[in-house]
Amino acid sequence: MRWLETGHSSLLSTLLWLLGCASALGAAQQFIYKKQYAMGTVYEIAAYDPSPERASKAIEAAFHRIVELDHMMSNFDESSDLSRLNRSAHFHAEPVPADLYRAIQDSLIYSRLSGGKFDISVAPLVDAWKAAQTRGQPLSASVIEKLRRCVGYQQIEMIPPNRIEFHSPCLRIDLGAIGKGYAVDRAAEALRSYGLQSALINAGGSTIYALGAPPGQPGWLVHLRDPSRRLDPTVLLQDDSVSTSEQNRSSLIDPEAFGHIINPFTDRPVNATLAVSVVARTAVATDGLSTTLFLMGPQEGGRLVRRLPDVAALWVSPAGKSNWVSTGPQIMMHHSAIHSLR
Amino acid sequence: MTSSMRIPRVILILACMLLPQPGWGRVLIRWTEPAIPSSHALGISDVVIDWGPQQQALIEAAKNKGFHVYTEVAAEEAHAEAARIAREGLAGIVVKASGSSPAPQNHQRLIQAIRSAYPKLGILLLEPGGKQPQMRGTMVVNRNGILEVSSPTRQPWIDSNVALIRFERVYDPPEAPLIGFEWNLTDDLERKLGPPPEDYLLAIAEAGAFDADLILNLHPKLQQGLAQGDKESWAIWQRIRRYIAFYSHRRGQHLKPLANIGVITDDYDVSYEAVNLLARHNIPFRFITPQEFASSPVESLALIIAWSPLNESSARKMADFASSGGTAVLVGGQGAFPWRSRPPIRKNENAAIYSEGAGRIVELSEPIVDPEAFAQDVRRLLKPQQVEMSLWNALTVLANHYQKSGTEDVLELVNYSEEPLRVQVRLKGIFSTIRYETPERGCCQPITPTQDHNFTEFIVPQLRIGGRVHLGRE
Repeated sequence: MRWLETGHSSLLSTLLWLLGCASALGAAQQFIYKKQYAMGTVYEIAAYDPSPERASKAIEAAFHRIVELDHMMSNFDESSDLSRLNRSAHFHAEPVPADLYRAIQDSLIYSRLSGGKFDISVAPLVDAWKAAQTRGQPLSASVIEKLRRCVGYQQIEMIPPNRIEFHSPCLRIDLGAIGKGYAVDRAAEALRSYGLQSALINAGGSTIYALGAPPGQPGWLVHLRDPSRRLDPTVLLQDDSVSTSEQNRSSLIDPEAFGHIINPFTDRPVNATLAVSVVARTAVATDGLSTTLFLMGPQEGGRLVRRLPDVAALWVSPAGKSNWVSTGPQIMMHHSAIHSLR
Repeated sequence: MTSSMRIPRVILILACMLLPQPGWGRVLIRWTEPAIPSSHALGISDVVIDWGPQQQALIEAAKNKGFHVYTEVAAEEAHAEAARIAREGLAGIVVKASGSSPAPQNHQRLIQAIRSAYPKLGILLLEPGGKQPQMRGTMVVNRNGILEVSSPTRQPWIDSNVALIRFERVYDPPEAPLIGFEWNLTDDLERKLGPPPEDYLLAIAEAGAFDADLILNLHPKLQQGLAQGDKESWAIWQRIRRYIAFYSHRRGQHLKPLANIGVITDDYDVSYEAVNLLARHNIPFRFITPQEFASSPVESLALIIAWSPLNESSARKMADFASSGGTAVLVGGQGAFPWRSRPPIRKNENAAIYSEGAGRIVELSEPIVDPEAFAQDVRRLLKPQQVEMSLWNALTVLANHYQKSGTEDVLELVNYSEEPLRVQVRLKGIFSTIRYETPERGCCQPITPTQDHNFTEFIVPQLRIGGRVHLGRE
């Protein structure tokens, strides 16, 4: 599944602390939980609502929206709108559905912010590296050079209101690094349209959006990914989102084995062991920024975060070294508190 | 007196004879509510009812309505209870094994002893460790209201019983393992209404596809609906029944899965996580007991993974296997192995790789810290021509490839996401005709394959939950 190939930010290990909720709920608020497979991952929605029937319908509507976007943005499905765009937009402006236009437009924001380190046109390289991983051999320099000509977000022209043109003969778009975030935001809209005020949307652990707060709580307490297992950072979400990116470990035998995140500047999988978590107002922002900040690293990435409103980012190394930057949201280190809870 | 009790006994006997007989792919329904429809109406013959004085009326009603009634008894009490159960005219006992993980060696003697003493009783062994098959999210809700989000794998997390079933098969090959589980109902609505119908279908599909028998717990709401003739409940039941019928086709047969990877272990718990991930990645493997490894040929295998300690002769055999081109993977191996007299060709904190003749030996430190990476390593250690099966767009699909006859293979597919998928398959071997059947659409839709060297590729157009591909050789 192509979504997985690039869209697989590493897993976010979180704990949502709702102690006391059960008693606070009484009969008024009921807990509803459902899951749905889409975009190569498991979407989960947990909600509190006085009417479980209404909550159930709202969640179904949210999932319907996610599946609709999956069909639109899938690279695997040849009949998807994205596949059609990738086949026919070379030197030809192609009309696309509003959601696809908006998702690509949002992606280009992060490409520009990162100076091209986040790039949705990296698909040809990602696919080639994926195939190389299956073979267990890295790509040759000549193959990389050939594919390099197909990559570059500057070659994507957005023609309002709904057309897109590629100024390259072989450019292809892969929304794996941002599509989940876009889908999560649309799912949140669907839940709100049904009047839900307390819900959590989780896209495979890598992108989470909190709508409101659990009953009787100030927010949804989420434990962030911590490769060191020492810091146990947490964030309290309320109408905002968190995403995590981390390069997947792919081999016990070969420490040089490559992971899934490709750096468009080096054309190679990133050899980094940091996990980065990003908090922001929307899931598309956290999804896009988490990959961007992973690629940029704490120094350059920290400078970017300081330019953005209401964003927090945390880099954690397997050795327990952390860097934290915020222009609003607070990331807490609740190490001792959480251990006492467990 | 119920109406069915007025039906002449001879008709009931005939009806029972016409009902499916015990065999592979068998589903026993656990019934807990006081009222039960007839066996004929449900179209199944076996029910499991808890043993106890308050259940006497239900047991009698079930017997009178044509069911073979089994009752569940703890292993420790099974022998003592058997006499009473036989006197009561029940069809058999489900012996609930003790412990939290399978220990087939310990229970086989008990089962044999009860069978010898009560030859007319059906004696089934329910192994512990069965779990609800499902695609898992990363949120976990517990009774204190804690939601936990975590996952040991990068792919969608799947709870399956495949490793358990295969482990059971090693120790008692002629018997289909009997698995069961409690439903994991996560929210208020599910607890009230029961699991979605698709979850019942998935449980039946998994057991059927991987050659196990199943005790299926029906939610009380569904039982009540069936007993009261509720239309919606019966519509759900018809779907369940269709799946039961679909997976009853192999009754009386045991089809051996095709696998060129051997896993030597006698400790299910130690190897479970890693073996589970092999199954999860559709890497075809079969368990081998240490005794079987010592005494049986292993030439048909391409790769052997050993969790059990190797004695001197087994280590020699492993070295011979590698010398002739095989790959051996030893997990936490301790001992003065012959290959250690030479330096490894590669070494890191997790692994040392030794060259051995035409093959190699990989020694991994224990425990395996990342079962996902381990599963990927195993696939990479195979040469391209040794990869028996590859699936694409199938992150939530588990597959089982059997050889049915000299001219036909069968590929069973189970989709744990319960959402329709278009699955691309590549199998080792040349198959000229491909036919696809599902419980929903019946048999059979022809599929056009393509052949590439010694491999066949095709696309399964729509896999919802369970599907079967018939592969014809020329």
